[in-house]
Amino acid sequence: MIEPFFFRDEQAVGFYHPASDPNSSRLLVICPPLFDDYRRSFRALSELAIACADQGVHVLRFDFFGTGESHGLLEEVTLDDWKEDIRAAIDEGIELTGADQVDLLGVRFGATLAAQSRHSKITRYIFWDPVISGNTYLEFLNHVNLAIELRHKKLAMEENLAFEKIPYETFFLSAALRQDISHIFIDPQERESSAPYFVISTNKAARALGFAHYEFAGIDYDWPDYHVGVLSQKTVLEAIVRRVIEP
Amino acid sequence: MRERVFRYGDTKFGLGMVTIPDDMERAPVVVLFNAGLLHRAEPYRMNVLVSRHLAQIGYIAIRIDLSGKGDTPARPQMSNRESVALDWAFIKKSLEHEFGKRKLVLFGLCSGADNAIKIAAQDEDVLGLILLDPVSRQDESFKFRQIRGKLTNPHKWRNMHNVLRHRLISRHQIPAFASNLRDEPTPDDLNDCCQNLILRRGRILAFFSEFSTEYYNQQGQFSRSMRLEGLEHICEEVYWPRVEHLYPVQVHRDRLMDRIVQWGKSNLPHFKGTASHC
Repeated sequence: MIEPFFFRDEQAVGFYHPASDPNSSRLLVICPPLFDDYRRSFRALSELAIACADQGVHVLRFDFFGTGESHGLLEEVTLDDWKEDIRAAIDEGIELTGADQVDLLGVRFGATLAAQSRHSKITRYIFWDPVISGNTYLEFLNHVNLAIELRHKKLAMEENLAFEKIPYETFFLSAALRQDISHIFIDPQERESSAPYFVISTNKAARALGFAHYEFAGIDYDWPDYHVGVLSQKTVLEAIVRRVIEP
Repeated sequence: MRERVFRYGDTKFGLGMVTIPDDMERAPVVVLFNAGLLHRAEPYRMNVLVSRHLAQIGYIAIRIDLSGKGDTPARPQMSNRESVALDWAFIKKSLEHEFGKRKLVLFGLCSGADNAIKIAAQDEDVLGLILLDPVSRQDESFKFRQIRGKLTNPHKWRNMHNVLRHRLISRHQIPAFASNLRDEPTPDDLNDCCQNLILRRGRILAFFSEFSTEYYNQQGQFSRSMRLEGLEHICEEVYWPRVEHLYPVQVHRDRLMDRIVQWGKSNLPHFKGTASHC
């Protein structure tokens, strides 16, 4: 059974999925993607957590500050808040489970954030369709905003209404946060961390990025195309579960 | 204001999150349903922020994952209607166990609004509805307004060749409207829901976005088309044809919050049973 809880002075929400083997020493911490990516993948991540817990790995999901069910508004978030969320989630997970091996799974921009995190208990990083650079991610967010603006323009025309002059932004992010996001990236040849990076991707072209451990999940997914659909990707989830349960 | 986990169901697998106001005295409970397949926080964190805004003004707000949505496991071999009815019975049991018997307000977008209407048609404790893009009947002038709108729209004339081509192509295709995926309330459900709320002196706040324009095109149409005496006095309608169905633009969500909070504040004494006219 999922056990939701609050941590970081009740500001962040976490969801603990106990392992089928209560004595398991392994913990998976999931850094979710943000915004539309999170909406699209929420159920998939919930199912992934259940599958990994059934296979004997404790799982902890959480929402970044200012997103999902955690407290705060995006306008007030800093990049350090999100980095601290990851560290605190790992510590909480270790305290809850007694685990001494942590796999950190990052999805999309959650992977970019996970790659910034260092913790002595992390034994490997698993990235699902990682966003390699913060700048690319900001471009993606701008692309989403532009797509939404164009849709509203078309809508106004269709309904014969004046187009509203408002900022067509899905979420307001502070200039400081945008600035901080633009500076972070994942280095595929990272040597600073002793824990290896494993990439599971729905994009064949991502192989060229040079990650030592890369797996194509056998299916293409249109992350960059903004739409309202919900993701259900069995083959990706199976690939991640295989990687997680591997000793 | 504080938040904690809310569980429901025979095995307590049903999951939600409750936001509790500082003053619990006679506080009504708002239950927020999933929108379509989205989890309880969505879309665009709307349910979270609506919960917190309503709790700040004195409502207990619970955002729920119904079976098969978000973190609640599905009930196999059950129709949506059966599953929602069973979920609701368990949700009410948990609500009464935790907070005692209280007046209920239901909130839902799209299929969430459908569920709210179906439940309000049956449950006499429901005194309020906040509906985003609910179903609506068409009134006598709907078609006229629709045709006039098309004829007077220069864009439609300029785009006539595309419209005709689209019509010809779509004649041979099975329509796949989002509404086909919905388990909409029947006309009887809608009628019973509105009748019951009139009798109980309930309140309705209904928003209609661009999504509704195929069946709703004028503020007041929902109440008018139901032909139920007194409905227009308890139902506040907001027609926002420039707003997208899931409110992806923050400015639009902020407007929505303001409107809900305004409605929530003005009706709180009524829901608490402390208004002078009650």
